[in-house]
Amino acid sequence: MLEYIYQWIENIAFYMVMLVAFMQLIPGKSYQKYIRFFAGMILILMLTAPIFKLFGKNQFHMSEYKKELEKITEATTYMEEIIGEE
Amino acid sequence: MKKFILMLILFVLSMPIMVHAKQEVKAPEQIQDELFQQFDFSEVDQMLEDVFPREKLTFGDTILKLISGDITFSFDLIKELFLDQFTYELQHSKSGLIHVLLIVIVAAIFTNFSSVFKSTQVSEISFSMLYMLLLTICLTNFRVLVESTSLRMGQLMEFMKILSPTYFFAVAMATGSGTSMVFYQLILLLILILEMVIQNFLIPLTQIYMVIRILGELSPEIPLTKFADFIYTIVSWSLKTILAGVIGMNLISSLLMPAIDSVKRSVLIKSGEAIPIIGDVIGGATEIVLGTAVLIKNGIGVAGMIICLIICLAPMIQMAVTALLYQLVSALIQPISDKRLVNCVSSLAEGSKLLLNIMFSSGVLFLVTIAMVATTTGG
Repeated sequence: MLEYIYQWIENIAFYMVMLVAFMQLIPGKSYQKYIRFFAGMILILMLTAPIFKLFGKNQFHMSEYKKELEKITEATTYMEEIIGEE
Repeated sequence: MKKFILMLILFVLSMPIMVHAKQEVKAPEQIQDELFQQFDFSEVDQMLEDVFPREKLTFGDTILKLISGDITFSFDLIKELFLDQFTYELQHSKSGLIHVLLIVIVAAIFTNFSSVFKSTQVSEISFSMLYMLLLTICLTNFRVLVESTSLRMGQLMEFMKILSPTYFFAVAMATGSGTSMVFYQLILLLILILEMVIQNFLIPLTQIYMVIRILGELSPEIPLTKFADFIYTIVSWSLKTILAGVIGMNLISSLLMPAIDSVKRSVLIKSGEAIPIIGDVIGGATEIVLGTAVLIKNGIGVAGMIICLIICLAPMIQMAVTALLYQLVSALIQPISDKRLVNCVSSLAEGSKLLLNIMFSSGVLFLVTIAMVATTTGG
């Protein structure tokens, strides 16, 4: 999950930097607004990618935290036993 | 006659118990020492040595000092740590600040004297290059902050994990097992929330917020500030929700269980006191032992709170100093430089403020929980 997010932000960063470089290379001012429009469209796609991914699949990777929760219950019962013996 | 014989038998039978009970009544200091021996702080001490190698902090001594009513030493410790950290941060961030200032001034020269160059493109490209340089510096500085925050957060959780069994054992001794159980579960849950939501979700999200905010300033044609605001809202709302939720859970559990425990305990004490002749002795002895147990429990609680505070203090000072200094730099450069550069520097200040908020909230969560336990099980 975290790797995916870092990958995503890296992509956006790379795209923005390239875009700025590309904007400088355009000879005439008149083309700029068209390019800006399409670049913005692509950027929207890039920004919404993880949100669509999130809605796309319904299950999260919660197994790790379930294990932690089980551990908490175990620890409490253990504590209960210890205190009960006192 | 029969009655008299019965009384006599009862009296003779209770003789050894009386003697025994008389022996049990010890000086409060002795009881305190004996109770104190029950606790094992070696793990906590080891942890403290890892976190604070310079200060010779031992948990047991801290508690003993606190129990004897000496609170000034902890203030001195906090003051010393605060000053140390503050001066260290000031010196440490000086070079970074000078770099930022130099870059901004050079960028200002490029933008303001662009007519010297043949085309405006040259000055624009050089401005972009300088902006990238500034961006890299800001992001690197921010990453250092994030790393130190998550390191301290880990230490805080580790400390609470080690402390809580000991502390709740003391709570069980002073108040009753029911309360102790409920709060023990609560604090384990709190550690889980901190690990799951704050460390694995909110801190990376802050980093993303920072990157998006700075990148959004990169090209004025395609702004990303609204997206950055969106992430900021997520982070601050989650923090507030966690804070409210944990305090609410604390309140609810502090309402019922301590009352149940105190009922159970008072039944026990009163039935002990009801025994003729020796009842008073039993009652008196139990009261002393219970009072001492409460004292030790609160001693552990206060020492835990002080150490929580000290663990949180270092990264909080670091972030506060960074936020203030970069805010100052953005204020200084505003007259000469481009709006984008000012926004870039001030967004670093914003990011550090957000991190400070996160660290502060997680510290407060533990402090509130310990304080709640201490007050509700006050005895």
